[in-house]
Amino acid sequence: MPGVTDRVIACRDCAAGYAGRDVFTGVTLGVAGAETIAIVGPSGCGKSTLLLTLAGLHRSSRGTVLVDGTPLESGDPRIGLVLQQYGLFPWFTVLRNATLGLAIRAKRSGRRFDAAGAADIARALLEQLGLGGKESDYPRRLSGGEQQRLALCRTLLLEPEVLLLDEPFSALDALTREELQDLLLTVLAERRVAAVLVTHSIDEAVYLGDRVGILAQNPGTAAGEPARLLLEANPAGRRGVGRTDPLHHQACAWMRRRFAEAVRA
Amino acid sequence: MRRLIVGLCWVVIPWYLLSLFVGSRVLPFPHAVAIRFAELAPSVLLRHAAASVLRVLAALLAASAVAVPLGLAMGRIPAFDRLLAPAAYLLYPVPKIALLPILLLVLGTGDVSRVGLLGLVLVFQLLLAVRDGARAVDAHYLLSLDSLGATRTDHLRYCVWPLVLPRLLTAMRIGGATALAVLFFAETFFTRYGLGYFIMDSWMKLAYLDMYAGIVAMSLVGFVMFVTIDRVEQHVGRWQG
Repeated sequence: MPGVTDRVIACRDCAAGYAGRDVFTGVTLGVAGAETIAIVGPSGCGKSTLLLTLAGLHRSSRGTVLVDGTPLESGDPRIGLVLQQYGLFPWFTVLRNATLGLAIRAKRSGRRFDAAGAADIARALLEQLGLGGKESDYPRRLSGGEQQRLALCRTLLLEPEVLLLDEPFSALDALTREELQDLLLTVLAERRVAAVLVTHSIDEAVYLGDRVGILAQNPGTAAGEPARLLLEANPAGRRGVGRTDPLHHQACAWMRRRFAEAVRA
Repeated sequence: MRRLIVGLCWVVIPWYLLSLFVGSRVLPFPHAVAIRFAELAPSVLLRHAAASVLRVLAALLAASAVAVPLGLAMGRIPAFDRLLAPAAYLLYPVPKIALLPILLLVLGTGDVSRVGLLGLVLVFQLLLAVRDGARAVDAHYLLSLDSLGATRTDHLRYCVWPLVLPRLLTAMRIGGATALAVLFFAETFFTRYGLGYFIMDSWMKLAYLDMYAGIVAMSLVGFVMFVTIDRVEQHVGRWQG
């Protein structure tokens, strides 16, 4: 793909897997600033592995991930990752969970950590994300939706250039999921960060992605062969097309057919 | 305070009944012991209790200083665990009290031997508790820390240690009871201070009231130790609800 390396985050012909066996291969991806790519795929196709590779937390067996044209490091400060199970620490309060990334990043860059300043910034964002007044609570007292907001808050406080989200809403009930999908759209529009989101929901991918990727084995390949990524423009034309809009339903139907073709063995 | 009163009731009522049964010369009534305890506490018992407490604290510190870093290393580095675990398993079941003569020969007849003995009683218990706690850390938490740019030191500080600490405190409470029992024995040799010495000395002088006052003092030392560990445990484990 010409120009792919000009994007905020990019990888060309990437492969990665476990114990010498690739779970995906030939992945070429470039995400521009303020663009969101939503990737869907069947269970076990390597969606999370792809995201971890893009985050620099899993070594690729082929290809290099570039951020702003420079290779990615492990724990790269330009990347913000929201994990599927939120990755909150139950022994820290909401506020401490929110500011933990700032403390670690400060230490990593050799700066003194301004705990009071970080707490002020975190309180403001917690308030904006609907967690005001819960700063002293422990995560176990939060609902699933609130825990997800906290995980998002912790990542956004790091002001990443690229936001990676691993099935962020999969454990939530339908109403909370829709509420948080709208919140994410608002946050992405305000902050104009590049984002890659993996999900098992085609509806979610169509609603949130500027482009939709299908990660699946090529049709006709033997079981256990690595998956490949197929990128499509959002058939709805843009992200955030209302869920009750017929265009959203048509786009989802089109994407379902495309998905079925892509995964059919 | 309510806990203390309930605990006292469980001890004092059967004690009265037993005193009536076996005779108050061998087992004096609790009120007589209480009066003698009050007489001895400020001058004599406090001095002996202080000596015992200092020995236990020194042993706890020494055992923790060895067990915590070794246990963390064993829990997080499998190769290190494979190297040290067999030795720990071999030495853990050895009755440490049997090592007192050797300790007295090697470390002398002073407090270093007694603290060393208590330390030996505690160290394996603490070591294995820390090792198991560090090993049981869910990789998901570490991945979460890695996503924030954490180093190995950050893993220990923000994840491993908060999960290991409650286990360490539990091991301290369990090991502490054994340590107190061993302390009693260790204080019967080459010392004139400590509750163990006081109890045995009173017994040999047939001063049964003094002996029981000493036993009560030892019980109170254990009580304070357990309550303190409980409080710390509640504080560090408050996130668990």
